[in-house]
Amino acid sequence: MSLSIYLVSIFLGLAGGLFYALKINKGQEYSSTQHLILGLIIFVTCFELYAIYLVKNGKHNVIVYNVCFYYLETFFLMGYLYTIHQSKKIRQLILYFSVVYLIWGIVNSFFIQDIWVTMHNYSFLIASLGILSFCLLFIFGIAKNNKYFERPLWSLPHFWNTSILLIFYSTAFLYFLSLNFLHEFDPNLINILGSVNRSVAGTMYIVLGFSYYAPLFQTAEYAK
Amino acid sequence: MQSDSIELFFVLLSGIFLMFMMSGFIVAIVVVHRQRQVKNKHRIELMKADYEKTLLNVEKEIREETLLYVSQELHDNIGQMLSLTKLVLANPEPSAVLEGKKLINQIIKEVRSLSKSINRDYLKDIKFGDFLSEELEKIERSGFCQTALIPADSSVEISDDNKKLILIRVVQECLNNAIKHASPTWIKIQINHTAPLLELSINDDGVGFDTQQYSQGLGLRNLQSRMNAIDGDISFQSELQKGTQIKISLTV
Repeated sequence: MSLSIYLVSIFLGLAGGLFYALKINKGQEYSSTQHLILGLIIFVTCFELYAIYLVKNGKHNVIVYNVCFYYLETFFLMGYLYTIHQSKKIRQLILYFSVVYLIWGIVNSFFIQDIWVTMHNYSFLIASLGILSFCLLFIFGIAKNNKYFERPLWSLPHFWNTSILLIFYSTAFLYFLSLNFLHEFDPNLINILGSVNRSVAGTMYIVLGFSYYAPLFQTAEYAK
Repeated sequence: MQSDSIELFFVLLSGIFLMFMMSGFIVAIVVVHRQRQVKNKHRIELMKADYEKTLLNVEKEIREETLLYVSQELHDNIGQMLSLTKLVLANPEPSAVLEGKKLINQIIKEVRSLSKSINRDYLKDIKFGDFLSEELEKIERSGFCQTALIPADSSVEISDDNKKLILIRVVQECLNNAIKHASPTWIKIQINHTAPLLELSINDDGVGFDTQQYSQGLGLRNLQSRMNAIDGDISFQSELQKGTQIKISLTV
């Protein structure tokens, strides 16, 4: 997937999210989390555009990705996961994880990987594992605690969101982790990996933007 | 260059493997969830059918009980009064005609009261507190034993008609049991309504029974299952020669 298609995917997700927020989301069941996810997509759009702007002006964008993607987006997602989990224990774990991740980020920036020069891949590995764990716990909790019996899973926005996060972060952390070791790679090969990663990321933003439409397609049989 | 390709292939393969693993996990959860949903739906349908059955049985029993009561009343009360009226009216004296008129008016009143109890909607329209009061009055009128309702002017009402019908039948069964088996000198019903909880205590000073021995009997189990059907609870306390106390609690 080329960069332009990736950007189009983000814009598509943004358009879907904005339309829902402005036209449909009037006190709906998932109102607050939709705003959070929409905020995330707006944030991603902004920093991706800024990163492209920096590159076009011959400047490094490492700091943008380090701060915005590795840290702020992770905190956004932790906030989202905190909202959708109902177990106090898991919520507490999410809070602890976020605090530890922040401390790790500071330590990493000052002592291990310079935040201005090096991609914070180690941090991303930790963030991915955290997000994957909390998404797995959410999806596993649905089956274990017999939740949402009154509706099909496909009509649940959180199910779509956590599923796509699960798929993206399970593949992306391999890519970002390997970036450090792929320095001597042929740039074309790195581009292939980057393209695969962008494809999954683009799909993720589209799904996040449109997931809240799912309950609207719930059949009358379940709505009873 | 070749080692680059191998490493890239390895990274891609691992990524695809992980993606498939996660997708497999998601699909598995969807399948498990759907299966449980179907099972749960089936269980709910069974519960609904059971509830409907209980309701039908209750309605049938109440109808039978009412008909029995009406037949007894026709035979023992109205029949007797009509015979008496016939005898009185056979006397040509004006005072006898007057007396006959009085008797006929009383018979009309009794027939009206009887027709009210046959009416299908009667139990749905009557307040639960009034029903208890009428049931105890019937027992006392028959001369079987003394009765008391505490508080006497209870205005407890149950908004759910089905719940009310089942509770009425449970109370009727408890009173019937006391009349048939306990030979009490008094029966007392105590109402405690702290919304939304309604508690009833039906007490008598009859012969009592061994709760251990009868707890598995059909009658008590039937009462229990009916209370379960309306998410209520029933418990029995009894001792031989020391009477019985039945406690019923229900959210109304």
